[in-house]
Amino acid sequence: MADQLTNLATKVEGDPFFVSGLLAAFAGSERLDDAGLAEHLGCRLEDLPILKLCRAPRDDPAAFRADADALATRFDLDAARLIDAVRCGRVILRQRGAGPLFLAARDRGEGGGP
Amino acid sequence: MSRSSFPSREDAQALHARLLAGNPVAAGLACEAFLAPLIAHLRRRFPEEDEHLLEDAADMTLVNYVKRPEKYDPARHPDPGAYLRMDAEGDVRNSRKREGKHHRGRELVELDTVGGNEDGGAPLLRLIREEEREGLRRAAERTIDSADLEVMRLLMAGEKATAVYAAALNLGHLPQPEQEAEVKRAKDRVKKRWTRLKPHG
Repeated sequence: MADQLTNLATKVEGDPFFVSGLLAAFAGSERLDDAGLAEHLGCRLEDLPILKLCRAPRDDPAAFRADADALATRFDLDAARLIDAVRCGRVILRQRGAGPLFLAARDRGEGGGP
Repeated sequence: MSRSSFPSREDAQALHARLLAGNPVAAGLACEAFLAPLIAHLRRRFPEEDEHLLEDAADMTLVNYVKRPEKYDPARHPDPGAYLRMDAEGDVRNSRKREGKHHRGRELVELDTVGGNEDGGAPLLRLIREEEREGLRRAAERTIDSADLEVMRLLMAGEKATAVYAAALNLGHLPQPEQEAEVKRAKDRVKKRWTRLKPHG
């Protein structure tokens, strides 16, 4: 049964609705497997698939904090680490999505701009 | 941990209310509460169907539900669990229809040579171009577990002996009739996966 949830959590990594993709991006950047990610966040390994299947925190700063706190409370996580992981995951995914735009920004910098 | 039975109507309705309220945790809890019983329900409802198709249907149903809980109408289905069962069954039927369309118009339909065929017992796989077969093999290795992959290799080689398939599936401890039934289920499952892997024409 746990495998079914893990499989589903993996399937939805590409769906920005879920936390899964954000945590996967963070874990990948830190070279963490699921056990490592759970330990880092301070949650039980068996709770990780359920956490991944939760809705990602909203963008609005106040709502983001409220959502992150709700997740941290429910799964007894280190809230600061969860927030950090989600923010890192967002940056990573945005960089992946930005692609050429990111390179264009660098070009402007090389021209003597800020 | 996932449960094997659906939550009570009251618990399901409470969970639905949390989804509607935008509680971020509710999506995860809904998946935990409904996924295993939904898959188990589909297995009972469609006992001959491919396991992966059933899991995909359950997954799709739940994902759609937690993302759009407002689509569920309590007036039509007082129990969210009943709504999810109905929706997942519909997904399974739709998938079957799509696979049925894939079967029609294909030259290659039947891989099982029990009872012989117009080729005198030789595998029908000679109808598949060699490069197509290799592509299917690579695709299969990425998505099919090792036991089913071995069944596919045996089918591709034209193997007919049930005992060989039974050995590949580690069924030696079962009585002969059960071995034959399990081998047939494995062959049917692999054939369905085969047609799903085949590129669209």
